[in-house]
Amino acid sequence: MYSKNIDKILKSEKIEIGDRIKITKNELIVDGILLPRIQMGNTSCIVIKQDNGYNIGIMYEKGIKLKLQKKGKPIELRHHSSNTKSNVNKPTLSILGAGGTISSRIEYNTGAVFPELYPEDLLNSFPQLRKISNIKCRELFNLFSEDITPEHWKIIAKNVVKEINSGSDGIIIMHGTDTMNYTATALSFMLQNIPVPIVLVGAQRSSDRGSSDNMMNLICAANTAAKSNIGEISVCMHGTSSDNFCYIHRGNKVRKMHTSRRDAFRSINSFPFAKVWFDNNKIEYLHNDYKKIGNKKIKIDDKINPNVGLLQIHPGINPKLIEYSKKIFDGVVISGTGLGHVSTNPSKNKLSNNIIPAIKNLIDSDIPVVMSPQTIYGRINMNVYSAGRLLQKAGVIGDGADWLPETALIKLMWVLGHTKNMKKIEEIMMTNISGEISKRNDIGTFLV
Amino acid sequence: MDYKKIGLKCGIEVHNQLNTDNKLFCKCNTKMSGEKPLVKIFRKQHPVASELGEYDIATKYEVMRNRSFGYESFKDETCNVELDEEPPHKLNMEALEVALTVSILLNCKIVDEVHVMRKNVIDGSNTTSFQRTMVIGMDGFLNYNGKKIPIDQVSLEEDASAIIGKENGIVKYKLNRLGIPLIEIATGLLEEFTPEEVQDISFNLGMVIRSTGKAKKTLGAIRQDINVSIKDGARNEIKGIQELSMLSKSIKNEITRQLSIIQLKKHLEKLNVKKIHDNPISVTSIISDTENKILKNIIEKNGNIFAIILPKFKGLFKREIFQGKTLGKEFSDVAIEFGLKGLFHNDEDLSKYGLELDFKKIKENLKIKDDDLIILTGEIETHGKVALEVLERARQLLKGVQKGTRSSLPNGLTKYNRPLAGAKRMYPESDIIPITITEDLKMKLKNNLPEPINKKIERIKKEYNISNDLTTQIIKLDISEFFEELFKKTKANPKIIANTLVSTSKNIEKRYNVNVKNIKDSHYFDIFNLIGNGELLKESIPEIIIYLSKNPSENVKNCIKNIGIKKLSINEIEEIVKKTLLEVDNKKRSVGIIMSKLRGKSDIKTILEIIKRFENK
Repeated sequence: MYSKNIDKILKSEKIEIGDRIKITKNELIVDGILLPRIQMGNTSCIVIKQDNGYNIGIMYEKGIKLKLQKKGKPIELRHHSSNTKSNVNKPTLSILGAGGTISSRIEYNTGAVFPELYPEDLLNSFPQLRKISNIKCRELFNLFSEDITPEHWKIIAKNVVKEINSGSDGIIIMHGTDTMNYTATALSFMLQNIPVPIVLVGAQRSSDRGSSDNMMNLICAANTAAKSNIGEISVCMHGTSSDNFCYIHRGNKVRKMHTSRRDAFRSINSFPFAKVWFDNNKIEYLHNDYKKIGNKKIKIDDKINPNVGLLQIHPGINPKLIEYSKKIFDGVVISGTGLGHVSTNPSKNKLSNNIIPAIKNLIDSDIPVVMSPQTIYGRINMNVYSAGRLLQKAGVIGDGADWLPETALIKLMWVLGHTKNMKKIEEIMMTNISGEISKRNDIGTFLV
Repeated sequence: MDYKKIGLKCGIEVHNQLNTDNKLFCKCNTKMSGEKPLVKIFRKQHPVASELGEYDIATKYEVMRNRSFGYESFKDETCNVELDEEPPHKLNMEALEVALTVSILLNCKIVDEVHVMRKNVIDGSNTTSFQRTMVIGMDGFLNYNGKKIPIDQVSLEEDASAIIGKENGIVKYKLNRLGIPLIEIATGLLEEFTPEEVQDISFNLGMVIRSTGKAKKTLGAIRQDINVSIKDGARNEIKGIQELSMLSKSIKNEITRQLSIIQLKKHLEKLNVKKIHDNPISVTSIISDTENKILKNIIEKNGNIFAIILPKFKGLFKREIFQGKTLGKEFSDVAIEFGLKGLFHNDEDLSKYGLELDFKKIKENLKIKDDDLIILTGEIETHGKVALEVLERARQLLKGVQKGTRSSLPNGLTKYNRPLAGAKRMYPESDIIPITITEDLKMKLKNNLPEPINKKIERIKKEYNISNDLTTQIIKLDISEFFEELFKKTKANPKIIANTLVSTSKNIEKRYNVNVKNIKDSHYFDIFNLIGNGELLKESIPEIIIYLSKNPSENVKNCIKNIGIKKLSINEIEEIVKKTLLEVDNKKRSVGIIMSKLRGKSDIKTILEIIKRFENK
């Protein structure tokens, strides 16, 4: 908020945010609407919106005068009263909000952006939705992507089941993009026997702009949820930088590979299930290797132990990091170099370390250690080099898996929610549960 | 015209691109070198909901939903920022300093904290669908002929991308212009000035930006918008005037247009036309067997023909509104703006279009009076919406001049522009932290201000003893620095330098159809070095310039050799003069021949003296 000096004047002049005021400072006279102080910048600067729409900052100075000109009206958000009657001939989709506002509205008097998550608002913003399906909307929570925890995955899973059991023909989960693939992966283990499409969707450009990718992503997600036969957890995001199609990725085989591009989400070591074209709403399946929807009863198995760590190996890594993990975690995933390596120092170089003993110590204390590739692409193979063989000998799990580090992490959390038996852990980890381990990698699955 | 009497009020917005190293919000260069595009991207934009009428666009202009755009991307000139694939980088401080300098030069109050705003742009010219813009200075003035011209605002913004064309309903843009820093100066209301004075004020504002040495000078780098209103008229904004010389003409045309509309309104009042009741009527079934190819084609494609009946309007569409533009043409522009090819109406020669019979049928069928005007629109996708828009525009005529925007055409004419509701709306650019303008920065800039233009003109005039006209030209062409440098380094007569740069080049370009811009700066240094040393005569300059324009890779030494310029001795000149006078009887002709034979080989004064000497003999 504003600095004390400014606050004092505001109080004595009975000025509140949103009021029209006049500022006099030396020769400068400006009037406009007083805006709240945004977090960044100088709190001694008064921000007002001028009549021409521009915001400017005027620095506090002794002798500055603020005068109330007109009380502002409280901002009232009207919702649109459009017809949302359901059509029995169309499927009904449930849209669950889990953060990452896919639709919002600008209030131009102050420039504030408000999220909207009412079916009427969504239908008004995206009228094409009406052509595809009936819509039910519910906000579960509104969190930034990075604040989502395994507990939130459970909430989402439970609510998906609730929607499906109450007759939804497809589920759309709106989610912030930063950790969308983590949530998708968690759901892929927690939800089994999936009878309707479950699609996660987000936007890389904020929804207040006309260029946002929200519309295309949401429409393609709705088409997937309403019409596809994909009985797995999927992620629907832009396929290219252009607004032509979305890819439908397998939820535990997809990763956000760019900080900002629309097409940041890429399938890793796998092909996406399908392309969905924006112009004609067509779903173009790219392969047939997935579970299909059908008349079955969804099962939820959300037992999870979130106390798992993900450690990245790097040159000069301090072995204590591994050693201390014993005190913290119930399981550790290592993001290893190359085919799945850590430093073993067979030549006894004075400058190098051998971290196998630290790993061995974890495993001997019944803390499972799982290997994953920091190269992101490719498969773990701990047979080629001695480092890999030593790791296998120490009991590290993961040889032959082409999972993402994040997928290995979440899978280990889920497995640890079910058993503490080291043998069992290894057995379930190495069993393909929901497409997270593929048997073979086509040459075309690199940089899809 | 008595501009005071008609109550002319104007407002100017001058925009000038800056020649900074980088763009406003990324590290791309601002060269626009015209290389081939690397990548082509296809995007759609959609209206965003707001409290205040954004839905109008969606409902009234259905076509504006899911607008499709193509973008071309260029090496080193565009990156993920222009493609709207990456948030903006920090504000370019070089550009901010230029904007601050301009604000100081225009006596503005400087904001303490700069807030970058997003201004909605819905024509696709910005990949983001908004333009980033910020106020730097406010409430200043420009001294102009003893008057204070009010300056409302100096702002800094990113330029939009340039349109290349339309193809299959996709509007295509080049992205290299997007993000180039642009300074905008907006004046307050200018009253009691003539259009010529307004143009001159605009020129002076442009010169303030140029004085910073950071203004781009290419065609299109400078654009002017102008607001014009007269008594009983209404404020109309003419957008995108590129040639300064067209500014006064545009104002005059707008005055004529508003006066015509006011007259038209009075005329309609006299005819007692108070309202236009009838809505457009579909006449497709009446003229289903039309001979007109355009209408036939529309009917075949399941389109509809709509008739708009304007009571007592017959004859009015022939009226000239301004400079050769009839009211009929003005209405056609409305239809064109909404995607049709034009309109048909019975104030034009119907036999030209094979429509006589069709109009007769419509008239009989709908019982239309002789003095009523019939307008037809043929619509396929717009379902009568254009007809409604045309009708709305006709109804507005009864109320007189309406507020609006018009786009500028190269010849000083203007064209109807579709009102774009929802444009110009602003909200904060949340990706950029507000920037505090420190006292230190302001002091630094105040201590390093460029020389003001009026002072510069006076100084150059005095220092080099050249005429007011020549000095003004040097300033207008923005070559004063080059001129001064040439003089300092070559010691050639400044008048010769100035004349060469200002008028000789221009005349040669016109007469010989060569591109003088091909000549390099180094060429000029070499030429004036020779002149300064007395090794070359000023009379040779035109020939050298013609030659170098055609052969810009040659050096000056070779050029002189190739065109055979040599300073002749007095004896040699005497020989030529003597010979020619003997050969040619006619005195006038002989002088002409001597001059052409000796051009560039001696100075005129010497030749004339010798001729005089021989003639007297």
